Amino acid sequence: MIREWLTQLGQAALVLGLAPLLSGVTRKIRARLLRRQGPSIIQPYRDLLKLIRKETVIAENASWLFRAAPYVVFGTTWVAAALVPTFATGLPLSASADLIVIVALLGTARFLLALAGLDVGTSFGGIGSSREMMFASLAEPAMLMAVFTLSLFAGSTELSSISAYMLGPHAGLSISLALALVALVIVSLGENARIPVDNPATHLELTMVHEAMILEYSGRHLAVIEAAASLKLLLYLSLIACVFIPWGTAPSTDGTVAYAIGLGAYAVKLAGLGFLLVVFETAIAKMRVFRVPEFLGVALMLGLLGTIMLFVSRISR
Amino acid sequence: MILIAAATTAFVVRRFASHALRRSPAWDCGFPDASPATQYTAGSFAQPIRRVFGSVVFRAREHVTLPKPGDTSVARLRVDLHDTIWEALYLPIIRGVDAMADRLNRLQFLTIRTYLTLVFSALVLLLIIVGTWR
Repeated sequence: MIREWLTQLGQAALVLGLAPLLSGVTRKIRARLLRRQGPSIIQPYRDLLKLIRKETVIAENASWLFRAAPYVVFGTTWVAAALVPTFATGLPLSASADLIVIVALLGTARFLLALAGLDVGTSFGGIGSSREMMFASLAEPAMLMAVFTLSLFAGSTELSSISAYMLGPHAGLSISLALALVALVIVSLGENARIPVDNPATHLELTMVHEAMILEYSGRHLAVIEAAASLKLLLYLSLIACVFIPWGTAPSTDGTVAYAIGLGAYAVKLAGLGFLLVVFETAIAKMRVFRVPEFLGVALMLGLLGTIMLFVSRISR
Repeated sequence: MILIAAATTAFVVRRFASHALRRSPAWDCGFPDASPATQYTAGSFAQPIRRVFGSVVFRAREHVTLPKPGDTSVARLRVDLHDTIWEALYLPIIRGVDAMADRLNRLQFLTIRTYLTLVFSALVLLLIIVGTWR
């Protein structure tokens, strides 16, 4: 019992510790693909430390919400990331590791960030929040549709059960599953402000979304928000890894060796997914803001199609 | 759990981070004076959503009246938006309640005799119901 809770805590610490590394690795690969040298892969840790040590500047008319929001955003994202099974399934909290809960937690974080963006009253915060909400109005239903497809397969929205089902003998290749995967990938690109939707490395004023919302933040608040953003990327990659490539994940009943194998497998999966993400990013250009809804709408349609096809095939059987 | 996570973060950051805090004016690009005209309103916030969902959910239609060359009348652009939920869900209920209220309104302008007759017939009706109930 105690060991299981320790594993759960270990997982929470693991995602927290690994998230900046993942950002660092993706940035490094991206730089290498563009024939640049790129910063070291531990640069995000240095950035976070630097930001934490720096003085915080707050706008004169910022309210308490502006100062509280980063911590709540980070808290919700961290909890959501710790709920997704990474190297082991069946942890004590996996009963609450429901996909819908995770969607709701991320929705809360997004809502608060959008409020904080509006708080100071500059037009940049407003434009960022407004665009983020527009994307969210398509990305969230798309995510939920993908979730419903998966839950129709596994008979549960719990991540551990879905992962176990995917490992089991009943799972096979299916069109609905492929559609759900594509929908999930598109949603994770959109949600993490990756390239076709938003450029995480830019401050080009007219196109930025996520960076516009957090424009007024500095110092420790910015550090917390940056950490939350990298946690979110880790969360989506772990989610895809846990559902679509579940091999190697250790059940909680197994011993230390299984955990070690699970950890190794998790690292390989993350690195692989991160590499694919970066290759995709470097291969295409950023979209205009008003083309993004079409991109996310494709995800919604695919999720819907997946669910409907699965439903029809279940009924006709 | 969220509370624990957020509180832990806040505590750790408070304990280890720099405490220096400075209040300064907000970043000035696009924020020259704090007048309401430069700020985001509900309308501007909803504008992207309105634009994306406009033709489907809100059934937005543009009516353009362009006068012929030489014609000096004004050109017009009219956009019709529909609040689908309001029109499909609430308006029928509102119309129903309105119609009922109109019908029942007549009861307020009767003579005293008619009221007395109504009260009496209601009493008789109730007594009949009670009688048959037993």
